[in-house]
Amino acid sequence: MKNFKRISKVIFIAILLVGGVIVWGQSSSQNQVRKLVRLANTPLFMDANEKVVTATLQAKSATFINNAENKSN
Amino acid sequence: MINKNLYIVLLITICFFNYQSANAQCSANFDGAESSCNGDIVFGANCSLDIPSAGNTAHFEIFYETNGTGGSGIIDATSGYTTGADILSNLNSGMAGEVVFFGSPGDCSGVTSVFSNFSCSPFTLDVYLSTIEYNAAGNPAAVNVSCAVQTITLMFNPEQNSVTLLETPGDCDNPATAIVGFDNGDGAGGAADGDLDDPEDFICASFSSAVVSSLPCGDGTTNSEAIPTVSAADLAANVFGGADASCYTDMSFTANAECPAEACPVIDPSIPTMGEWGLISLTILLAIFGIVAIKERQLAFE
Repeated sequence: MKNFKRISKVIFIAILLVGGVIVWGQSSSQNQVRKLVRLANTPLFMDANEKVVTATLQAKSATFINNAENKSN
Repeated sequence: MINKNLYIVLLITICFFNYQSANAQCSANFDGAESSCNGDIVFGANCSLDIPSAGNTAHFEIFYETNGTGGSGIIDATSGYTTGADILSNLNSGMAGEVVFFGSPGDCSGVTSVFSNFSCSPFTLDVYLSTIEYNAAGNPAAVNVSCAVQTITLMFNPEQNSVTLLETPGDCDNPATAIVGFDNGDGAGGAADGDLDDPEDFICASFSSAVVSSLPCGDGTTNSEAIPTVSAADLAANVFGGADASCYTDMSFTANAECPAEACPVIDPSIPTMGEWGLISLTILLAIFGIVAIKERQLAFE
């Protein structure tokens, strides 16, 4: 009887694991499907995951510019 | 004392100008950058990147000009920006003439555009090409304000390797058909769904085979007609609206129209063949001549 319970637990966990793997596999394969976003007023398309880069860029010579401004002041 | 002060001022001035040249000069060389078939930028053999600031990595980047209404409102680069300073001051400004950029930068091996033309006609877009520096974390960090910005026309030809081909085999009554187009979605904002009948899909052309016949009759073999291969030149001129033929290869199809050859009719042995009819005719003719000849002999004895 004890063995029967253990075997039942093992089978139950195994079924859960297999189910989880199947669901995960389906969701990952769905992510590979091409999803496109159309650029307004053009026939151009881009991957939906691409986004506008909104980083705040610095001037490469900012130190120099700041120094120059300080000196002029 | 005065001379000493002058000497210090002179030394500071020299250091200042050295510092200026070390930080403000730009060494980048685009060397005839031009667009590939799909909007990527290809540089010449003498291309060189700008010398990066310490800890940064130098790259080239494509900047797209927008109408200020958002990232998707891309327009041709018409503001005429000529230096990195122009790019910097108009980056994500939220006003007309702002510039934005997508994706990752490139080096002298080329810059890849993130846009693709999935329609049936070529499209051009003027963009700015500028130098940019990424920091050690891989994020865009700085623009050399003294570097020249180049306006370049990206050429987007319809992409053959993204074409959706819907082929339908033919039979004894219908030819095989192939529809060439682009499957860009499912009509509800979702991914491509394998058909070409959604609003965002494009149908460029359709081709068909000849109608296949069940004749000549045979012994069970199948008569077949294929859809003719479309040459790269025809593809560019007639399917993709005058695109660059050098960007394409011949397009072939796999669907055929097939019709089993009908069995030839069984010959009825009771009906003489043409050869037998000929023999019969000759026999009768010979008999006629023979009878006539015999009759003529009998008249001669009389």
